[in-house]
Amino acid sequence: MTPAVQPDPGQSERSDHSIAIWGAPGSGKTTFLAALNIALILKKGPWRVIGADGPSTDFLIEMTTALSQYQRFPPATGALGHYRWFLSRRSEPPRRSWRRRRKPPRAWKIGLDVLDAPGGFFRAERTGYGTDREELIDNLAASRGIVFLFDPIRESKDGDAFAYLHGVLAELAGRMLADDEFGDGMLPHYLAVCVTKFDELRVLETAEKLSLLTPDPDDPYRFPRVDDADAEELFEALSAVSAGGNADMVLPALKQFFRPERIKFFVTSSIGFYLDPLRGVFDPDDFQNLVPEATGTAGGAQNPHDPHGPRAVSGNRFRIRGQAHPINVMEPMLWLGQRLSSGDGDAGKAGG
Amino acid sequence: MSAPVRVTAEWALWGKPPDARHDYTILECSAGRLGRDEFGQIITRFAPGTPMELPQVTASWFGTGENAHLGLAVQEWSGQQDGMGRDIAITRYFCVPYAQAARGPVSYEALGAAFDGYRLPANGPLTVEVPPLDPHVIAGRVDHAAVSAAALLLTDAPVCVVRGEEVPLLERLRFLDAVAALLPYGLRARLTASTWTDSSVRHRIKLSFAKHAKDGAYTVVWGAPEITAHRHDVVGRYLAALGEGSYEEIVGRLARMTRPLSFKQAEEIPGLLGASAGPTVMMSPWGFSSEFKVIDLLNACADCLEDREYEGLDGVLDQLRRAGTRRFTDEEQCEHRALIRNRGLLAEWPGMSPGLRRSLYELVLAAGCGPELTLDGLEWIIEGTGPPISDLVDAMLNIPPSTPAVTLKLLSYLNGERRAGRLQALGSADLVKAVAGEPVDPEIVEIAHGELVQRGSNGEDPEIAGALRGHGYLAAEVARAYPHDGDLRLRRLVQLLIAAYGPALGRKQFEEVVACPLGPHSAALIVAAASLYGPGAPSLLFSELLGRAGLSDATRREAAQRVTPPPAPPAPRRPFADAVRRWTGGRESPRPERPGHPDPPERSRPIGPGNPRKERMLPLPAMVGLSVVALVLVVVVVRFFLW
Repeated sequence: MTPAVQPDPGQSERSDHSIAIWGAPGSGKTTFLAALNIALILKKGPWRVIGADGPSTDFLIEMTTALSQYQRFPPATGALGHYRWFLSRRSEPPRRSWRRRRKPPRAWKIGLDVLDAPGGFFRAERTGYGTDREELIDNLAASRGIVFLFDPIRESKDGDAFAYLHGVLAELAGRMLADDEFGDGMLPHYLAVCVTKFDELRVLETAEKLSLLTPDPDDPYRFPRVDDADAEELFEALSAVSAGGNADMVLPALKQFFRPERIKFFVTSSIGFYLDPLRGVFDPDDFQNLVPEATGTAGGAQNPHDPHGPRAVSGNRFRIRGQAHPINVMEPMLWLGQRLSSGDGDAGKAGG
Repeated sequence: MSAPVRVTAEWALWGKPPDARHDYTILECSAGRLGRDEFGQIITRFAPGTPMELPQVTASWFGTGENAHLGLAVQEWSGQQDGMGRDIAITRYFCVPYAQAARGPVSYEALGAAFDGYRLPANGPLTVEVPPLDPHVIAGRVDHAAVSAAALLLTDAPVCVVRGEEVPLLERLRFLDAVAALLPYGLRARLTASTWTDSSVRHRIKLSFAKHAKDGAYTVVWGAPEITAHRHDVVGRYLAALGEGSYEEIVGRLARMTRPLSFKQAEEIPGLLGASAGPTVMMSPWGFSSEFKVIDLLNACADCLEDREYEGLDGVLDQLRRAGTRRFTDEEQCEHRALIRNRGLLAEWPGMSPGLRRSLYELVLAAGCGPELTLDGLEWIIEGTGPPISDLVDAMLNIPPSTPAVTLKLLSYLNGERRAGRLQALGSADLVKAVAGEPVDPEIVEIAHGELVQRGSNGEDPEIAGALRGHGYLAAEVARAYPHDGDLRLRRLVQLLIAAYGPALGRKQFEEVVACPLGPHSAALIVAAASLYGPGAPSLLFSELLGRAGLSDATRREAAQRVTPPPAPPAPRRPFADAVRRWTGGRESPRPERPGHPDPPERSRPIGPGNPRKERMLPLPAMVGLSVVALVLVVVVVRFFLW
């Protein structure tokens, strides 16, 4: 007989650096997480993301493979996922100085517990199949960082960002603020508000019209960017074109419950812009990385190891045209990770 | 091989239309008893995680008692994408009544095969014929990994089979069947098993293939060359029991054990298998043993609560209600109480509707406490739950109390108007009865005292005096409730006497109070009564005591003389007093008559012979001295009696 591998209940304990991803169905929550590893690899900086347990490592591998190799979006999330990662910063070799040898910089390690729920869990009405709603609220209450994804494309079509915000926000506030644990009556979370799908034509055009696009001299591909300081302005502009007409309530609702100094805006894209391999730089006339695919087989790359295999297709399909170049995906996570590590928000800017 | 069994399945199709921008939902379902919401709840509840490799099969359950069902979900890619460009997975879900499946009994593989030929949506529920499981075939598939997994499942922890990613779907499903066949068939009423789970999600699958074991799960390696040992007692016993006989014989025996079981009853299972000549549990026409024990139903309640399956809970509570309330044997009650406490059946259960929660509490309390609530039962409940929430208090108030003290103790957990309303419904006699006797609970004393005092102040209740008299004016209880504060004890007794008789005592009332049997705590009561009677109290009290001492006349007279102070010297003349005498014709000014004293002249009657009425008006210092002497005497006599 071989000894049984003991169940380890201790593994399920959550660290203080728990980060939840919040957004409507299809706002790109899982893709955002899937793009994190690719963003860190492409940045070639000192930061890396490392799985802290087997299932979390599996997720990193599978998602990175789906997005980079098969150029496919992750399937819709079916249940509340919980991933434990470390954002690890390599210690760089010490620079030599004529006076004295400098001590090597300390390696950083930020623990992240990331919660990824199906978008439907955030629906305002507690109807239908919401047996996990309590668990969602429990997890949000236990987390101290939130990535809130605002999908302007979905908002222009469905106009339901507010519907996927206010119900859960009210319940979270009811749970956490009812007993005056937090003296100022505000939720204690750090909130990274991410305007997603920056790679979409309409989002890019809006940013351009508002003169919010800035070049990044450090970026060899010359991808356009919106500075974090201007991200809120773009958010407000895109909220104004909501199909439901109530997206302009999203920001006031967030500011009503979260401390303004703990909210930061980012303009992001998980797949980024298309990059012509021959040109090697951003082409304003050919930048769309997500393109419709009328017929054919699924997936960008036809790989015999593709777990889905070739399948018959129907309806409108999309494919990711080239390599994903995530924009502002690691920055919100690093910002949150560093704020949570420092405990009081004194940490410096995200490195990398 | 037995004949196939006919089962009727309700079904649902879970997915999303092409180009949809919303989450997965029920696309179609059979028009049976279950609707879209119910199917949606079941499918999401037993979701194995976000799919990466399909097809996969998940076996599950829902409902309890007569509503128990087995479910089978087959998940496949649809070949379509949603509005976000993501591949759509479609789930075909079938469920059959457990009683029908147990009649075979049938395996998961056979159920899946029976439905495989049906495309959904279909017209209404599907009726199919399923061959019963063949112990010979199943036994041929039992390996070390299956034996290990079956034994480890009895710990109630999930079991993950790893390194089986490359194993074909059918082989994985057969492995699940082999493991399930090594357990009593009745456990399938609570077993969830899947050919794949995503360990990063908090799924509710007990037995599954996974790349890594999830937190808190045991790991079994696919194709393991040895049985996985474990120090857990039930695992060791079950492994030993599985080793006693051929797998074919064991599988056949376990297949006949179709009474629904919970994993919480795992301790019993090795014994079931060990009793080789044990009786086969026969199915009643509705699918269950007719000997349905309350303990089983309580276990089923706990399972539903843990899984937040409130709809199923409703069904179990119905059965518990039908089981009726009776007085259980001590052994049964101990068993019920242990289960109720260990599985937290009286916890708050947030998210449950108030009506369901009240039913749960009432029925669980009936199982734990019987048809009436005693103080002992109440203490047991509070020990387990801490201060009870108002729904639990309401449920306890609905059980007939064994004594009024139980009601009053319960009311101590209510506040404000709710408590006041419930108190009004109690008679004064019950309030007094609630305080009287052992054990004395200061909280109960306070509540009853406050209510009696309030009623007395309104002059509304003539019952109070009689009730208090019957229980010694609660002097003993007050003494025990406030053991370290004599002043408070006196205050409380004075207030009770005022509630009974009004703000002052007449002679008759005073005599009533002091006529109570003397006890260790009578001193405070006598002082309280004396303070309400006034200055004549000591002499009246002494007279009362003399009357009760059983003395001869001569001895009584002698005793009376001994406590009578000698005549005091004439008081110095006071000009002001003399002036008064002159104005009143030589008489002292009469004292104003106290209300409630019907016979003021009598209270200053001489207590012995030779004391003419005119001489009893002693100067004030002499009266005070006499009072002190009398009080000392009272105390001495009381102590004498107690000796």
